[in-house]
Amino acid sequence: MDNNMLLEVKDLSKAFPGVQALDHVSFDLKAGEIHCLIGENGAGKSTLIKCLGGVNIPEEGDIFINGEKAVINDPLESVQEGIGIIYQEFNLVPGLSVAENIYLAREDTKGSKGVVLDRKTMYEKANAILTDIGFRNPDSSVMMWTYRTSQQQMVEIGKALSHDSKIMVFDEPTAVLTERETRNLFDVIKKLRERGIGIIYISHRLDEVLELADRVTALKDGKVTGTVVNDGNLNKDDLVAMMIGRKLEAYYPERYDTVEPDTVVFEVKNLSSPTGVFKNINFQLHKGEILGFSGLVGAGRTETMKAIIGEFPYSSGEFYLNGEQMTNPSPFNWINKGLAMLPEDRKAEGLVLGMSVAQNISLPNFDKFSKNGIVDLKAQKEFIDENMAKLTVQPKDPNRLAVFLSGGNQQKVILAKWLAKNPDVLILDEPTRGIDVNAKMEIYKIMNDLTTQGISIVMVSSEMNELMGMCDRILVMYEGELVAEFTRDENGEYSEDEIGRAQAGALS
Amino acid sequence: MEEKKTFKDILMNIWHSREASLIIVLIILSVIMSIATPAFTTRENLISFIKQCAIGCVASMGQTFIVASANIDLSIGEIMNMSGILMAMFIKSFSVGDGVLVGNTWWGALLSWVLAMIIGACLGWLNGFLLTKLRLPAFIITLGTQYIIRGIDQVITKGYPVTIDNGAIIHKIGVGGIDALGGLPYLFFFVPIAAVVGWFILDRTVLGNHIKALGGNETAARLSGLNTTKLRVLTYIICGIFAGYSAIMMVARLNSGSVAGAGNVSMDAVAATVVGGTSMSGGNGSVIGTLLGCVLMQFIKTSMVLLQVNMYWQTAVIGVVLIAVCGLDSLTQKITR
Ligand SMILES: Nc1ncnc2c1ncn2[C@@H]1O[C@H](COP(=O)(O)OP(=O)(O)OP(=O)(O)O)[C@@H](O)[C@H]1O
Ligand SMILES: [Mg+2]
Repeated sequence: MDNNMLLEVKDLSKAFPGVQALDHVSFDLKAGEIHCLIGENGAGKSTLIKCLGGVNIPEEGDIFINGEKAVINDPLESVQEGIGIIYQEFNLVPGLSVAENIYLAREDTKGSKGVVLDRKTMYEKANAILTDIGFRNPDSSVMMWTYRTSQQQMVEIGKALSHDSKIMVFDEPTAVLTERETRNLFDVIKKLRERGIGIIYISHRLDEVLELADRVTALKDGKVTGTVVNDGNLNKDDLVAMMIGRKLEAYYPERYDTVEPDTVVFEVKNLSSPTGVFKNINFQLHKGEILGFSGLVGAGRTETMKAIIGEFPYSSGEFYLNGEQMTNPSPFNWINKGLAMLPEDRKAEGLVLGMSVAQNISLPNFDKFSKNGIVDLKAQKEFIDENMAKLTVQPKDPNRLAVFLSGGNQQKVILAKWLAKNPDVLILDEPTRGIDVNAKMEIYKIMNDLTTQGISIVMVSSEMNELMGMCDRILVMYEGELVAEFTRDENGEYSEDEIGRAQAGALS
Repeated sequence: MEEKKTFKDILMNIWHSREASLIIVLIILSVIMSIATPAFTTRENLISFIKQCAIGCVASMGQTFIVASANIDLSIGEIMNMSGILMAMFIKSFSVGDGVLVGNTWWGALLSWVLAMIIGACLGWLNGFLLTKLRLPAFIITLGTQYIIRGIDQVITKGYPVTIDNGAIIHKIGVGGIDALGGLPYLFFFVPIAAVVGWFILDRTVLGNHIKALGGNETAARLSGLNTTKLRVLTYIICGIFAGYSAIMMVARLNSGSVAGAGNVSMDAVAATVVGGTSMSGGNGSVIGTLLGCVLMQFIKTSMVLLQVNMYWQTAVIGVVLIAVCGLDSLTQKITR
């Protein structure tokens, strides 16, 4: 046994009904190393992590920590082995204070009885931990729900540190962060590495992987396809080749020229929120156009989109679709008129998790395979197969419950549902969050094709590259206001600097 | 190897299908009972079993729709009572010349049935309307309407049952049966009709799919463009119609409509629904499963009577069955993590 290794995973296998999620996976991690895990949606990355965390129990294989065999049968044992996992969904109790969350089940008490909470000590200790990871002036006595997503993530990291974790795992941590918060997180992660903590980092964003990784391991269909050292010569194409087994020609498809600048399909006038989350929003969407909404998380983009479809209160505002005013916006009314929205939060708003993939895709599309309210099962099956294939939903089992899909495949199911609907206007809020490169390409291609059919798209995204690659026009929101509009210059390029400045509210 | 796997697959499918498991349990229990006591296989026992079971089966089907939409209806029993009372009054109070009661003519009898279902639909609508207007939990709304309806019933009837004369058609249906089929009660035929209609709506129609989606995730359903308000009201109307329909059976069996006729049917219906495989958190639903769940419950009760177990234990056993079936399900799910 190599004693140098902090963690060694040998021949781990795990099957779920119908999928071999892990197939004899071997993996190791040194102290003071960042080891990135990459792979397509459903490759088994999260499953590997969940085996370390005692959430999933592998059928075969061994886990060694510091050369000693570890048996991890539940999350508590994982914590005791010194493994701290920051899952994509945080495990925090909103109604408890920050400190009480960090010390949950290990609360400090007054006296020896262990009955009365000693909040003061807990606050002090928690504040110290949070300060240590770069949190400025933390107040750990406030309720958990008052923290932003990025702050909650910090609390999760603090919690793992307070357990004295030697191994820390991050599963797509930046999917919920802004650019600036991402920089912050990277600083924290690098600091942890310096302290000799071993870090496993999962991401679909290959730039991040190249920046952070000491080594990279790729998974495909539950098998390891290779482990490479990031010696400075590694590039994105190498990573993609490891992940999908071939090369990608381009990351963004060439945008066809589909915009009809004289035809306004959709218009929003004077949209304001009573609380100022968005103020005086005006924009027009042309036929065949992809219009990007850029801005920092919290700039009010999602709220604006929700207000448009009638799911968020607004104090003033007018909406016109194909010249016709919508006085009573609601998802039901909009969809009948030809406007659909893909919500940001796939689990809470996008999917019926307890239903199958087929049922989810069917939801807004019953008119396509039913007559007089009665479902034609054969037509439904054909419809589902066709639409699942379009977005390469994995596994190809329409009867699998949505809850059992990997994160990226869940997103594909929601997209499949709307793409099949063929509306005039499609609002996509973070459509590629958590999706692998290959599937992203697919989605971009589909968006492109939709515009050739005269469909117009509003795309909200926190990934600037994707907006610059796909959009015909980009609007920037800052603190609830539209502050700038960008179009391509004569070379067909956007000015990344300028957009970045506009996002930060630094545009004069 | 291949062969073996498919056999295992079949076993797993049965294990995972609540309907199939319930049928197997029922078969096994029947075999045991027919060995244990000769009284079980008698014609009388079968007939009385069917009569006892039929009403609850149909009422539970309505509850299945509600539970599939992640709600509950505590007022089913009261809806049945009110439908039954008004139906009985209708049959009694009108006569067509020569002192012949409407209830003694075929068209009058049919009219009274339609009336019962319309009253059920109206009361269901009331539940749905209040629920969607006031945005209160279904538990509170239907608990409230349950008291309201019962109160009104008491005012109307002054607490006395509305009894129908023995000559009425509804009475014949309640006591009679088809001799050629060994006296199979007429009441029996109400059940397959309701089951097929219920199964069809929940399993094969757009409406049924939408109801299940509503139960699985209301926000996602709304954002998918479903009119969730209308859907909620519709599920309660459907449940009300099933309640009205079972009120017809109840009046037939008791030969009266009364404040107490339906008893504890609302909660029994929840139990049958859950045993039948519909999840309390919504998102799925099986009318056939509910039917089997109801049959299983009644089967156990009847068996205990035949085996001369103290009758007070019967109720307790229902609780045990409910928890055992659902507990087994949740335990086996945990193992596959
Ligand atoms: N609890 C479960 N029950 C059934 N199947 C599961 C379960 N969890 C995961 N799977 C399946 O195992 C496979 C691997 O999933 P996993 O979540 O590990 O993928 P991933 O690599 O993390 O993908 P993503 O990038 O989309 O997050 C997928 O096919 C998924 O559908
Ligand atoms: Mg994952």
